[in-house]
Amino acid sequence: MANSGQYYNSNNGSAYNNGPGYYDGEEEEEEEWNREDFLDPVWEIQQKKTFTAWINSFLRKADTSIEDITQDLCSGLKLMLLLEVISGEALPKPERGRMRFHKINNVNKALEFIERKGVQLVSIGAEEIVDGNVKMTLGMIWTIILRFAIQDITVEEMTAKEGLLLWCQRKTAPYKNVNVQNFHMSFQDGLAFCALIHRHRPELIDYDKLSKDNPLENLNLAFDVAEKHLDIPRMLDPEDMVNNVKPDERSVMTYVSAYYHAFSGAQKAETAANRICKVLRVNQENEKLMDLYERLASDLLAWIKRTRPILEDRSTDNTLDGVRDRLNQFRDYRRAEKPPKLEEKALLETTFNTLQTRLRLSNRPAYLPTEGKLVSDIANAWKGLEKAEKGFEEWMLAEMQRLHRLENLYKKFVLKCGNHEAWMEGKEAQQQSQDFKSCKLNDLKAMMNKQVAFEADLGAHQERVEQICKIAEDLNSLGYHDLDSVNSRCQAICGAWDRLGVLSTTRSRALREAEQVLESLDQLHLQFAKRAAPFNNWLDGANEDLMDFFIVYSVQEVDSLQAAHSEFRASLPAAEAEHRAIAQIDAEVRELAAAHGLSGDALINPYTGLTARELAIKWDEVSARVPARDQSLQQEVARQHQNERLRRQFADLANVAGPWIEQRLDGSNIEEMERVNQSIQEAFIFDNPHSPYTMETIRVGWEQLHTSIAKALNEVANQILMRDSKGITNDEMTEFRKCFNHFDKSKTRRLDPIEFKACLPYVTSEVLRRELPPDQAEYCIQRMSPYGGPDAPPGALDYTTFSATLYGETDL
Amino acid sequence: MYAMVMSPPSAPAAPQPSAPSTIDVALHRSPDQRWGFRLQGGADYRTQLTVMRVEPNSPAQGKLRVGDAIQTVNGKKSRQLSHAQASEVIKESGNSLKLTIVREPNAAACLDHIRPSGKPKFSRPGS
Repeated sequence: MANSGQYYNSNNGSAYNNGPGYYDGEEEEEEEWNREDFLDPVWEIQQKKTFTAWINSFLRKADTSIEDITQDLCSGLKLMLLLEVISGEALPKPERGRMRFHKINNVNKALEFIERKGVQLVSIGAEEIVDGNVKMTLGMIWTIILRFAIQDITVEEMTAKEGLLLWCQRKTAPYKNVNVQNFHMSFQDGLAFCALIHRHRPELIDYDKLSKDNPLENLNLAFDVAEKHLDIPRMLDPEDMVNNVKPDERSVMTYVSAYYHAFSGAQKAETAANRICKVLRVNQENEKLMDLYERLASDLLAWIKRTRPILEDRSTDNTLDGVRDRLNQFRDYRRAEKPPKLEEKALLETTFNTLQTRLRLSNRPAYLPTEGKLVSDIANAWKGLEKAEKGFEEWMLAEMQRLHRLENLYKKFVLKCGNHEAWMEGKEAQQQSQDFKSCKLNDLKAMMNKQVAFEADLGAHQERVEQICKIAEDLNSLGYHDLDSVNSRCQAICGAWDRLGVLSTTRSRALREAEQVLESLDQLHLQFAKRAAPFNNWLDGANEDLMDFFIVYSVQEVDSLQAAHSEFRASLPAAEAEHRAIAQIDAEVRELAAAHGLSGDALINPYTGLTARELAIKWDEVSARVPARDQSLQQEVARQHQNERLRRQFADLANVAGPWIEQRLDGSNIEEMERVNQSIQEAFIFDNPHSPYTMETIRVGWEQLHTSIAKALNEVANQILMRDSKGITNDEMTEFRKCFNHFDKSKTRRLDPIEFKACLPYVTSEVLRRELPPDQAEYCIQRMSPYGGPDAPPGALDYTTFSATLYGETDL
Repeated sequence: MYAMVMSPPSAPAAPQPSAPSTIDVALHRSPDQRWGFRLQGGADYRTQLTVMRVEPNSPAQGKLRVGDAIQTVNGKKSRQLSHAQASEVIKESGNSLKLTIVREPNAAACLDHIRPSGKPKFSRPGS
């Protein structure tokens, strides 16, 4: 109330004294008033009207009213009621008596109440009020109005009257034809009231149609509208306003304060409505944010739920390509799928924060997301996702490494298998070979050496095979994708390896057995050879002997031959035994070989070319020849005996004849002699110890007698020579045999055609030169005369004549 | 919401975080007394059931503080209670009321340290 003093002094003229002022405790009034000077001044009239109307606007809430302000408040009852209605507080109980002192007490109660409200009342006494003192009453009412209707007005730090004025100024500022400076003149043309109404309720007044030239209309319009629509009863009289030079300030203030309360209350209501709107809007926005949060949270959690199993999926097709595909998928996920989700998560977080901040700022409790969508839930799910991502990347890299390693390991495997299989090529067949069953001992020993070397090689390769198996094992444990081929190959290799091992052992054993057998065989072969050779020689000798052409001339000779033959025969059993033994050896060889399945070269005797079969043949020959020889010897024996007889015969005769011849040339015995001689000759008898006379000599003797007989005898001699070594001596025979043997090159005791020709009575110079030393050949050729016999080749030389010459004989 | 400030508001540093504590609170009142605290939030508001005001000289004073987040009401989990239901339970709780609350030990929700005081001051650029 700083300006109240000033305000009061601005009232023009003393005619317009306001009623008794009051001390509000802040400033003293410098006003003069005379109670007695003026009766019912204008202001009084106005104030009466206005105050009465004002009071009634409250009392109507208590279903009562006053008519005369000086009368109706005297009892104090309505005054107290008024105060109660205005303040909303209970006053002490009024006294119900009608006595003056009752009334005074009541009024005092009212005045005390006012004082309790912080108003210092000066010069207002209860008695004057009870007595109906107008000025006093009006003053008191003004006090009440001031205190309860105006005092608490605050507008922009201005209070009470100033505040109210400021309020009017602010509200009417847009209205150019209104200029509120005070609470009297400024309101006189009524436009201020209309503006105030229009400002708050434009639909109630068509302000543009108004003009200040129609103050009455304006005032009436304002008052009517206020009464009808704003529940503000009329308090001012338009006539009074217009006719009075200066409207009563207090009245105007009173009425305007009613406007203030009505509008600012409405305004408060409006602000409250705005605030409610704001709050509702805020709530709505918050709800939207909550919905957004819930939706984002659901989506994100669902996406995480979908995505995490994919990242946790550790299934693999075990190939590098498969892994690379998954890595690419992961990259796409990181590059394209995840970033928007990160944004979503960020949005989620900001939404949450925004929401919580808004709630906090508007003094609300914190937002509580539904179960499972709490910030912690989201954070955990996200962490789980990132963990899965990290795990996936790590796993992916480990997988790639593993598969790389696997690939390399597989390559290694393939290489080693290839090498091994190449080495294995043919070895099984080799080891299965039965070559040792038909080879010689030397070869076998070579094979055995090879086998030893082979076994060493096998041993060396064992590690290789183990390596292969180890690699296969690793491939299995590391889960290589094509384990079938790996395992089958490894198995094949191992199987073959085991077989090879068995075969090798078997072969080694077999070789050793074979070696033993072959060594035994070799021993047998050696034995065989040692015995077969001499036996063979013996057989050859025996056969030779048995085939021996014997030319014996005497029983003696034949006997010796027979004796030899007997000896020979005596040796036959031993020989046979020897033969059997040797055959036995051979049989053993065969048995042994057969028993061990040996054949071929194993059976070949390295020590000799002789075979049992050969020996057997020879033996058979010998065996066969023995009886033959027996026989021939027997025959010879017989013959020799015969010859002997013949000899004796001849001798007998010759011994008779010879001397006879010597005595006479009687040839009667000659013929007989000749016959005997013929026989002798035919029997190959070449000498006769029984008589010195040979046929030759006899013949010679005879020749001397008969040349013709001599010729005939000569012929016979030739014939003898011609027939199997005809009449040559033993020496000559030997000589002849020597030559014969000489030409029997092949020692088979048979002459082939060429050789046989050399035994013919002729021999060619060609042969001589070929067979004999040059000087001997020439010697012979010179001394030999050409053979004149039939069918002789040119250059044939007569051998028989040569022999005759050699021996001093001449066939003439 | 202005939580009780434990440290003088002049400290501009951010409040140090420490673990919120769960506290069991038992209130007792005489028959005609009110509990003396304002309840806000609930499942139907999707917000945490919270103590927003504590009236002095009431059973709540000294036991409940502004900002306390109510977890259970007489054993019932607050998460499932609508505001009306929670209010009902509390109102009908007779003379004693059991609550478990979570209290932020510091003014984590307090914005005083960032709230400006006085009129906005403008400074000329460059000064």
